[in-house]
Parts: sequence; structure tokens; C-alpha cells
Amino acid sequence: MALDETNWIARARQGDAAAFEAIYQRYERRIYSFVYRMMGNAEDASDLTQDTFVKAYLALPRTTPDLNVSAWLHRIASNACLDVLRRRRIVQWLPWEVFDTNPALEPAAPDDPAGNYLRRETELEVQRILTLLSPKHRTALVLKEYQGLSCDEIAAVMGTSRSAVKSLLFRAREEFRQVSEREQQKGKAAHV
Amino acid sequence: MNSPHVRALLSAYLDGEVTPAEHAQVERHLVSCPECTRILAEYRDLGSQVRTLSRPLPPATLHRDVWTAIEAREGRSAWGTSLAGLLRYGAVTAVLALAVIGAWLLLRPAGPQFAAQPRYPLPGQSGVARNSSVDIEFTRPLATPQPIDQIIQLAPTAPITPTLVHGGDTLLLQGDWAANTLYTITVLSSTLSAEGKTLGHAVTWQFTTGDFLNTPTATPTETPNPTDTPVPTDTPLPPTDTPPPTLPPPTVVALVPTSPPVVPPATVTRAAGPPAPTLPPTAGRPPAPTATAPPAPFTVTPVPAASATAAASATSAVVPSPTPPPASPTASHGPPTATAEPATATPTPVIAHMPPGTTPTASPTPGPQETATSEPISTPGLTPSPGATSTAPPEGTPTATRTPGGSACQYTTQGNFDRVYQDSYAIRSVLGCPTNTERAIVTTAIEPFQYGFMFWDGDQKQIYVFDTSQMVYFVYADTWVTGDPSGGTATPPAGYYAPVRGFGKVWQEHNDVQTRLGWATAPETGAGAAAVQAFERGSMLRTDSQAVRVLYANGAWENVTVR
Repeated sequence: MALDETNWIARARQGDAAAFEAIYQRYERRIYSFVYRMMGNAEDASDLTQDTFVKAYLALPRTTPDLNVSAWLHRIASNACLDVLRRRRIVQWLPWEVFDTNPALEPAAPDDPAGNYLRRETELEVQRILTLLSPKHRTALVLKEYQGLSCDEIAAVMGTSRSAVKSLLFRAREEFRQVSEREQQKGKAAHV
Repeated sequence: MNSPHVRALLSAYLDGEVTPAEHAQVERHLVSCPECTRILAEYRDLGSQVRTLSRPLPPATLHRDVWTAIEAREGRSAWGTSLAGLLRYGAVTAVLALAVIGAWLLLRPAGPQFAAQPRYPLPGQSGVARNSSVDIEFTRPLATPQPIDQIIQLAPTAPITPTLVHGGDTLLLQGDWAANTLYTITVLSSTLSAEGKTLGHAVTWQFTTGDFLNTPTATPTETPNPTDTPVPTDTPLPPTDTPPPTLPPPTVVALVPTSPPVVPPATVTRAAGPPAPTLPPTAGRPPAPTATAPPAPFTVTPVPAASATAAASATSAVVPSPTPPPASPTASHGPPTATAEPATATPTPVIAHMPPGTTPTASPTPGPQETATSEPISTPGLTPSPGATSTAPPEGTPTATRTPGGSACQYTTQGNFDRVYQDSYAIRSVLGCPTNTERAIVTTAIEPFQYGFMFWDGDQKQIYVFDTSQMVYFVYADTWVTGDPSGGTATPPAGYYAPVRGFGKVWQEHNDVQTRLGWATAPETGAGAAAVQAFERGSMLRTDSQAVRVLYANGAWENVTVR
């Protein structure tokens, strides 16, 4: 952890808004994109990222000085996502409209419209598969492959053991493969 | 061949999470198993697909929404929060939540909550100027008259002058704080609001003073930069196209002290010696230079260092220093003595303590040694300006609105300063309005040190000392002139440098700077084009195209990278 981050955390834990702002600036996009990939749409990503930082701000004074702020923020964010996903499962509501949303992405290369289109299509397909994974598998896979966390870090975020993470990742990859194959079969059937 | 056991290992193998034995087992298996080889390739491919997903940009409103929500939540119970979450995410639970809301609305106490929040110094803050005002904000105006000891408890005691500003919701305690002292301040639960409510609970925090004074930020300048027109921060702003809400004139209601200001008892003598400044752990550091290590290359009036005094007097809690420092116009920065005069009576050539950027180095009270020593010209400490009516909120407005938006300020920000200022509510809140236009710095230099760096504003003859461990900064007048010793005679460890010229003079004269920064890690170089802009409570400094350093009036700074 960078020295300045340690300093920010120490100051933010004492209620220094400017220090928390520095933490926010460092993690805003990282947490937002994580939540976006977990939820699959910009509206949830915005709401839950907001919740994450508000909860973090309010909980900071109760944290310990050796706080790993990255893992901690990811944990708050993933819990927020899992809470919402669990609740939606209970009420049998699936956010199908997520596939119609158009997130604000980085500017695409203006000189490669065809490439941009293909990338866009691929991205939508991958996001669709992610959204169809079980929430825990999705969390593990996104943390590992998208956020680049180690198994130890994922264990800290998910509140589990390293061996459990390894097992989760195996099952997540298997589920991704199966869902991907199923979706491809559906696509072929639709074109027949 | 394609056993589930090996299949399970493929995932861990991909992540490098297998033992050497398992690694060898998987590799042996892959040679003879096309199925597992294909699955491993699929794992790799799906990982690549997820990794290359784009990073969506957060909506521009997110930052504002987060801070707005934080403000709202800080003044509410956890109850209200849960309700908000339920309402947002569950149709079924929303019905229940609505019922609870109804009950809450019926049962909650009427009227807004009455609470207090320290604005300055912040809890745990150190390096507070001895003449700083403590700034406490209340959610409701205070009742007046009201005995100050019904509101504030201070330990150790100190002479304070209470003043209510901003329509009565902000209490300023102008103090004559002892140097290097840990103060505990409590806003008592007996504090009365104008509506007759008492504070829900007492609020206690601590701060530690430094051994220096601030002078008002509106000190007139002798040699103004021709491109700048410094505006005193307490000058009311002229009307703009979009005038701020009509506010009553600043209501300054003096509270009624029930007893005269308490002078610290004799046992709390300043001769006890200040505690050594808290510095980052030195474990693992190369040996930091010490006050005695390098020979002094400059002929200057010695400026006693607080840390040295602390060490010298550590064994004698109440006995005055056996070797009091020589009488010097810099006494306010020297070790405190048993007979220390009130802060305001200390003659000092200390140059103006203004936010850097608009502060020419002229001294309001020139002393005989002002060209010989380099004193900090901007040191930690915030002096709230009771007359800043342009930033006062309408009564009952949430805290955040005290900070003006860009449209309410007389001066505007440009370029990267503007991006940082407009993008960060927190920075705007802390800095307040710009008090001038951006000033380009043409003549610059910069030098990296072990634990920070120095920056030279050659146009204004100022040297900024940035401590990257503690994230604090200091500004010194550059008093080095051609013909002075060039410095650099200290012998650094291999691979390090002793700073020279102006940097060297500041470094040599101030043990604290040496301790904070350590040795230089490279010779000084030109820093290219730079710019600075002053604000009500700090400044912004830009030394390259990507980074903006936000310098707060309390001595803290941060680096903001412009995306």
C-alpha cells in the first residue's frame, strides 16, 4: 500500500473529509467498474458504488489502523451487490433490461468502427454470461479476472478461506463454460 | 485419463495455486489428455474475455451524489439509512418500509437534530498555530447569551475568546494556545440551541499545537506581483451576475464568559518542553541527517529547533531551560520559556503567514535578521474569517453549502486547477473561493529528498517543503542570494546529496526540515512551467501537466492526478 494511502486512511479515520476524498478518487472507478460487472447495468453500478463509499465513510472510524482499504472497499461493494441479487432472487425479479443499457465507456477508436462493433458485441455477450452466473461464482470470477485480485485477497473480500476460493473459482469457470455453451446453442437455434 | 481430480486442479494450475507436485501432475496429464488441454484453453480464454472487458466510466453525478448522501447520513440515524436501502431495492420490503416510515414520522422528535462538529482543528490534528481559532459548527444556531463554560470544556485550560458567526451556528474560539501542547476540547451536552434544545451528546476531540504563530491572511503586501491583485480574504466580494442569497450582515454575538479567561496554571509551564514532533517511523530508513552532523555552511542566526529543545528539557518537566535561547526576533519559533509572553506580544520578523501563492515575502515588521534566516512564511493553521459573509449559508442550510460553488466566487479556476476544483466537492469545501487568478511561476526548481521534495518559486522567492511521509508542507522565504555560501558541505551517505543554495540554506537552518526530508536523492533541477492559485483556505500548485498539489491552510497537502 502506498505511503500516501496509509496517510489518507489515518486522516480519514479521524474524520478528515479531504483524505477520504483522496481515497474516493483513487478507488471510485475501480469500485464502480467492479460493481458494474457484478450487476451488469449502469444504474445499479451507480447506486451501489454510492452505497459502498457512504458505508465506507461512516465505518472508517471503527476500522483498525492496518486497514487494507482495497480489500475492504471490495468487500463492502460485493456484499452490497450480493444483498441486492439475493433480494431480487427472492422476489423473482430479473433485470432483463440490463442488456439494453449503454454504459459510458472510454472513447472508442474512431478509426476502427467495425472492430469497435465486434468488441462491443463480445463485451455484451461476456457480460450477459457473467450476469447469468450464480452471484458467488460471479463475485469470485470478477474479482480474480477483472479486478486482478489474488486468491488471498479474494478470500479476505469474501470472508472465506483460500482453499474455498480455489474451489469457487473452479466452479465459476465451469459454470461460465456451461452457460457460454448453452447460450451459443440458443443462438444457433435462433438462426435456424 | 480425464479424472475430476485433475480437472479441478486445472483452475488452480491456471492461477498458480498448485503445489510443485500438483503442477508436475497436471503437466504430465495435459500431455496425454486433449480434453483437459481444451478445457484449460477455455479457462484461459474466458479469463482473457473477462479481463479485457472495458472499464465503464462512473457518471459525472456520482461524486456529487456520494458526498450529498454522506452529508445526509451523517445527520441521521442508522435507521433512516436502512429505510433508504430497502426502499431502493425491494418492492416487497418497500411496503414494510413504508409502514415503518409512517411510524417513525409519528414518533420521531420534532424539528431538526442539534449536533456539533469540529471544523478546525480536525480531531487528532497536530501542528496547529498557537493563535489559531478553533472552529466548531452546529446544526442549529446557539442560544445567546450563554455562558461559555456551559458550551466548552478545555483541558488544559487556556485563554479563549468566543465568538459566534455565520448566523450563530459557528463558534470560533480565538485562543492563546501553549506551544506543543495536546488539548482536549469538549462541546458539552449542556449547550443550548436558539430553540432551547440541548446537544444530544457531548463531542470531544483533541489537537496538538505547534510552536509557531500565524498572522492574519489579509496582511497587506509590499511588493505585489504586477500580474496579481491580492484580495484580502475578509473583503466582501462585489456583486456578481448571480448574487448569492441575501444574507443578514455578519452577526457576531459575543458569548458571555462566566469567568475571566483562565491562564494556564504555573505547573503547565511552557518550560516543560514540548513533546518531540511526531515523525514517521524511521525503521528501515537510511540514517537521517542530524543537526550536528553536517558543518554549518551558512553564517546565520541560529534558530533553535523545537525538537532539540524537547530533547534537552525532557528530563526536567518544570524547570526552565538552563540555557535559554538568545533573544531573537525569531523567538516565536524558538523553544517556549517559562515566562513566555502572550503570542501576540512576541516581536517577530516572521514574514507574512498567508496562503502561498499570493504572499510576497515582505515583512510587516522588518527585523534586523530577516534576510539572514529563512522563516516559514506559511505554516499550518487556519484562521477562519468571521467576515466572510459571501460564504455564509442561509440559516439551517446543510454544512456543505457553506462552501461556495464556482459561480459564487469572484475569481474562477482554469485548466487543471478547475478540473480538480470542480470535480471535488471536498476540496472545494476545504479551500473555499479562489482569492486571485492563477499565477504562472516562470522561475522554478525542484529537488527530491528521501521523504519529500522541495520546490522553489523563484518569482516570489519562496521555497516549499513537501513532506511526503506526513503529507504536510511548509513554505519558507528564500533568503539565499548570490555570494552566500552555496552550501553542500555536509557529507551525505553514498548515493545521496546535500542540497545547495536556497534549498540548502533552508535545509541547513531548520533541523526539522532535515529530519522530515532526509538527504536529497538527486541534485536540484528546473521544474519547468508551474502555476499557483490562492484560495481562502489554501492554494493549488501545479508543477507539471498531470498533477495538482492541493495545499490546505492547516498544513496538509495532497496530490491529485488529473485524469
